[in-house]
Amino acid sequence: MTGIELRGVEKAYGKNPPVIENLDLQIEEGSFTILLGPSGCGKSTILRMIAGLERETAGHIFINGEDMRDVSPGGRGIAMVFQNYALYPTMTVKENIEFGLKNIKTPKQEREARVTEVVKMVGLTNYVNRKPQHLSGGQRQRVALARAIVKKPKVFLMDEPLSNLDAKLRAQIRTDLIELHRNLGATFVYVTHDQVEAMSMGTDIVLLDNGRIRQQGSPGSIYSAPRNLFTAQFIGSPPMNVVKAEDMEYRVDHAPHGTVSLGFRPENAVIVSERNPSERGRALFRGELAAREILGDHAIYKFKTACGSIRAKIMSGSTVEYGEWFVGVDRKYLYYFDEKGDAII
Amino acid sequence: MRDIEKVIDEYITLAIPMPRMAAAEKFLRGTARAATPYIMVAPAILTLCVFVVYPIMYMIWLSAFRWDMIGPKIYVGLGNFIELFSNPDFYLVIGNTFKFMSLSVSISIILALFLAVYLKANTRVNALLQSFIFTPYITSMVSVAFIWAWLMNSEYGLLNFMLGKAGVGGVRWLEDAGAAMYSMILVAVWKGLGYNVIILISAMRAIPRQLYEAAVLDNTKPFRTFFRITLPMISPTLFFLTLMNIIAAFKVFDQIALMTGGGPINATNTLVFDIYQFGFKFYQLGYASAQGVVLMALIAVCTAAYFGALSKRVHYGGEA
Repeated sequence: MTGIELRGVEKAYGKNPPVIENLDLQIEEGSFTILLGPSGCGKSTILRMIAGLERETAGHIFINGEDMRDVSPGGRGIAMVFQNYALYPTMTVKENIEFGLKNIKTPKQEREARVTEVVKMVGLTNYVNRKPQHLSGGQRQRVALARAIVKKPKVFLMDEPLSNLDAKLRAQIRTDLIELHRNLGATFVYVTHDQVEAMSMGTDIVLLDNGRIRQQGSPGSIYSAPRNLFTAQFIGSPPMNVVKAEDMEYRVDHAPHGTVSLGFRPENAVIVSERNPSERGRALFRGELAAREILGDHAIYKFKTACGSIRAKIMSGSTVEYGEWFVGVDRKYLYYFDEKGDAII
Repeated sequence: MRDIEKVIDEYITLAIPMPRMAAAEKFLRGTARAATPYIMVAPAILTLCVFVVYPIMYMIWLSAFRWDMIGPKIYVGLGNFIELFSNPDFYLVIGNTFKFMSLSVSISIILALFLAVYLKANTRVNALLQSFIFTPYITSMVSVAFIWAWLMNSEYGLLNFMLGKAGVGGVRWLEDAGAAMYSMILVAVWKGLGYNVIILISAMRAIPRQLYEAAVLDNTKPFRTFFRITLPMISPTLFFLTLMNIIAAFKVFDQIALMTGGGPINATNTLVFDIYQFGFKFYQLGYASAQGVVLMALIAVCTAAYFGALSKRVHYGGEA
């Protein structure tokens, strides 16, 4: 098969218990795959194993159907962008970009042409003779990208490349990366802990926790059909509200058998002043408004209820005053989870 | 609020009662304040003057006289320098000094670079090897000189004993005029190597690991990685270390005095040892001072030349 495949991969450091155990993962050719998860979930380790910077303790990694076990990082047809860019500080922008080409003895003419093209692509034409220390964070980031692009790899590996940039620049480079992916048609594997980056750029998200895949799928399916509580609470901003069914003041009578907890997204909640007993299809919570964040086009309200904190995201309308309110959710927006935290469908 | 401000105000007035001072007192206070920093650095400056600046000045002054330490000083102008530069032995001594300096420094630095690359990996064996290699540096020169003089003894020394066992004829390490200087260089490199290795290892360990990972992904061969990444990244350290080595090598004295006494037939006589001989053995202090002036000028010129030639190629500045 094409793309990248991990089969039964295990990684352990020294004599410690493995951080990744028996991992199977398929990354489709040409996809923009995001490895998403909290810090320490093993996402960077997976990326580094694909790059060959770390060796898997067991299992096999295939790139385009070829077993990579004895292939050096340089021979894998990949390029990597590091979190701190890892530019060579003693070389100019141009030298940084062409270093890899020089190493594989690319003819000078071709090298020059490729460097010029790439430098133009990332908009650094006027900076080719500068040293990295004289560039801004965003420019360094683009040098790092250029250094990867110039190699024309089949696979781009990116390890949290945006985390050292400020919010505005991050948003800009996010769209740049989407365009880049579409233009190059290469496979992108991108590690991040930021679900906004994952949702906005990815065509495929692999959600990881403790070295295990919790869910893999398109951003849409991960958002709308979380298969477990971990996914439900990791994706979305603010995350999904989850309450214990037994703590609810007003029971939901249509919950499926085995339901232990219920979830709903803050954006699906409505705030009402009175309880309307005739509305039977709705889950209802009585709560005290504890905090509100007015964010222009929408507002986030945090309520204290009998079953813990609940957040509601209201898209516009008048500001809700502090006091006691009811939060309602239509039954079609409810998610049900069993004892083990798996979704009941 | 008011009260607190008042208290603070009063406190300040008490501490620095400027407004209520008489003009004279004010002047004194101002002077004292201006003098404070100078008083603070005075002990250091004074020490520097007494033990560095004054001796240098005195040496330069003395170089214009003939003096045997007991009799009167006889003014000879540039006589000592004329005598110095017309003495063929002086050129031999200068040559020896440069030979010792250039060979011991270059061998030591290059060897230290190799060893540092090899020993930079943080393992237990390496930690042990590092301490082994560092031990000569902290050993007293007197012990080192005696041990090596014994090892190099042509009749009962260990080195010749082993050469004999290997079927090779012995070397008259310290007695042969052709070999003695190389023996001196060998000992100097052996003693100073550990320090250079430790400093270079720490510089190499400070290079971010990601640079090497990027290099691996860029298909960089090990040699190229060393010359394009490691070497430029440690260039500030290397630059400084080499300079310190050069200055120290120029000033070599104890090793020569203890092992060869400048012999045989001046083969290991270096500038500082020669100064010592003329000053405190032959009691020609004016002549020795003139040599001292030449040494000072040589070190200054070499340092300036070194800076001029290399400082532009040193990479300073943060990582990126």
